[in-house]
Amino acid sequence: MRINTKNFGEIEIDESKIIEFPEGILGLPDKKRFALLNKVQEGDGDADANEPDGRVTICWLQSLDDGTVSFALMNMLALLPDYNPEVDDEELETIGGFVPEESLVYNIAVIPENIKEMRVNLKAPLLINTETKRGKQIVVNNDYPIKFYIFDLLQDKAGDN
Amino acid sequence: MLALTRKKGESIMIGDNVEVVVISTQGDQVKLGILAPKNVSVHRKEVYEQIIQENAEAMQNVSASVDGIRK
Repeated sequence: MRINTKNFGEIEIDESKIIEFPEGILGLPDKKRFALLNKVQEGDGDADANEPDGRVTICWLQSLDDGTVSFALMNMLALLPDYNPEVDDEELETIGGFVPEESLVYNIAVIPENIKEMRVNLKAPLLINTETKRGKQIVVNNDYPIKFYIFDLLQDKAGDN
Repeated sequence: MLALTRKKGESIMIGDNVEVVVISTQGDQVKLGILAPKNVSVHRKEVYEQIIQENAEAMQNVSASVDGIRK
């Protein structure tokens, strides 16, 4: 399918890449179809976690129901060793459960004009079951911040390389 | 708003499927138990509203930053 998007212009999305969010995203119950976009569209288009050289990758979740809606996503599981979100199994039934090797976990990032205010939501990550191609925003049981500021952390990471 | 007075251990039904039980009270704190079907999400209101607000802000990611990161 083709869709005209605000951030990426007109893009072609293979039907097999469509991810359904049966309950939408919190606050957007009507936006149910999304696609993961890499910053570089190549290969099979899998939005992989982080680059092997330690660079941090941001990928995008583009709504296919509304071209103006997209989210920047980061994989905080890969960045924060202590990040261990806990979820009730039954919360995941609508997406076909959690199979570690078939699941992606992403955190929605806010990238404001002042980049130092950049932050990710650790309290409500997105879980995507790549087998059923379904996803859900889950409010985890842990007492994690909704606004976790990461500018300094990213600076440190960049300094490591 | 409907106001119901309940005692410890008593509950109310919301529709056919959702039961809210008063587990205990202590001062101005009330501990509630919620029995709901799996497809009904239960959140503390303030957490839920903050997440919705943060999602709304995430959709406003400024184009300049988006371009800078995308390329």
